[in-house]
Amino acid sequence: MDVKVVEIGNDYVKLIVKGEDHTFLNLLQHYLLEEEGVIIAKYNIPHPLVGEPELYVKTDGTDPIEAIKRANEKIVKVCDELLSKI
Amino acid sequence: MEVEYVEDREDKIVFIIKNVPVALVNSIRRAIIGHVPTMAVDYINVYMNTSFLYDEMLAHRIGLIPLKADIDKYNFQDKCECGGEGCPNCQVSLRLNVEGPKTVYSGDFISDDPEVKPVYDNIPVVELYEGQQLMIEAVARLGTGKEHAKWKPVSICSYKIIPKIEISDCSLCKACVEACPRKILEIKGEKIVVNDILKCSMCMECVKVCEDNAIKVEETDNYLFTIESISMPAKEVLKRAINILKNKAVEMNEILKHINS
Repeated sequence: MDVKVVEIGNDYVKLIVKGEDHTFLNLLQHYLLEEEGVIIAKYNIPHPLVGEPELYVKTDGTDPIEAIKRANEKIVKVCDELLSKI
Repeated sequence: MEVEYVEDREDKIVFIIKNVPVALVNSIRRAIIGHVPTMAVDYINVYMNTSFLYDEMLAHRIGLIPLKADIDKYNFQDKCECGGEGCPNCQVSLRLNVEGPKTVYSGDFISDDPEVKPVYDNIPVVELYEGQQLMIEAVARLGTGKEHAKWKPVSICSYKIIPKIEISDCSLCKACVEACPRKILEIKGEKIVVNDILKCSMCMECVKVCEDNAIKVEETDNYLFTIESISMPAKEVLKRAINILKNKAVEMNEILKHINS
């Protein structure tokens, strides 16, 4: 995984997440939308073979990078819970 | 979140997972199919081939043989110390030296690492006749299903929604019982009951046929997950897939830390 910031502002961020696909990004998008303060969370894969996925997050003023971090922590928590129940 | 096993064998597990988002279940499915590494033959060196099959066909057939291996012992070739050239840490050679008349089976391969061997010894590769000879070195390496289907650790890996069927104000016309293609509805006394909800495919035939609009089939957050594995226990495949998802999230947070500062 390689993350590059394309655009960043107080309430929005546009990232390029190189080397990822729907497997991780759809999960991240789902947990981002559950996050408080996130208005838009969307990813786009321009081409399934050569494209580099773009992730766009817009919030109501809270730090978008922090929102992504919290969503990722939620994924880790859910995965740990699932692992303990298998 | 709850997990309940319906079937629990080494090579096949069927379980119900309750109160989780579809995104998580689908990500696990995709991770199992595309991201869990396994061992498979990548390319072959042909020193002698006088059989009826072309070299390319042999390579394809040998590539599809599932291999059992301790995958933690090996590195991915692009992340190996050798820089992708191939070394004992990232690849294994399987040698084949046979002469006809004979049917060559997957069990005839002699592996450099005794732990890396075909899962089944009785997969036919090619039939050799009198005077035909094969001398092959097959080179196996780690890969993922995203690259080629031969590196998939599973055959079946799917999930389906377990729906909720609600029946109210029924006039007992029996139309839904006859319409259901999987025969899961049944009349018991004055009521229609659902026999086996796990079999419901949500075809909505019972809803279409009901004249009183008494049947409701609703989606829920419960899923029936089926995994049939090939080269390692099904539970291990599932655990590895969840760990892969978890590591991706951890890795992304690690990178984001540097962006902020």
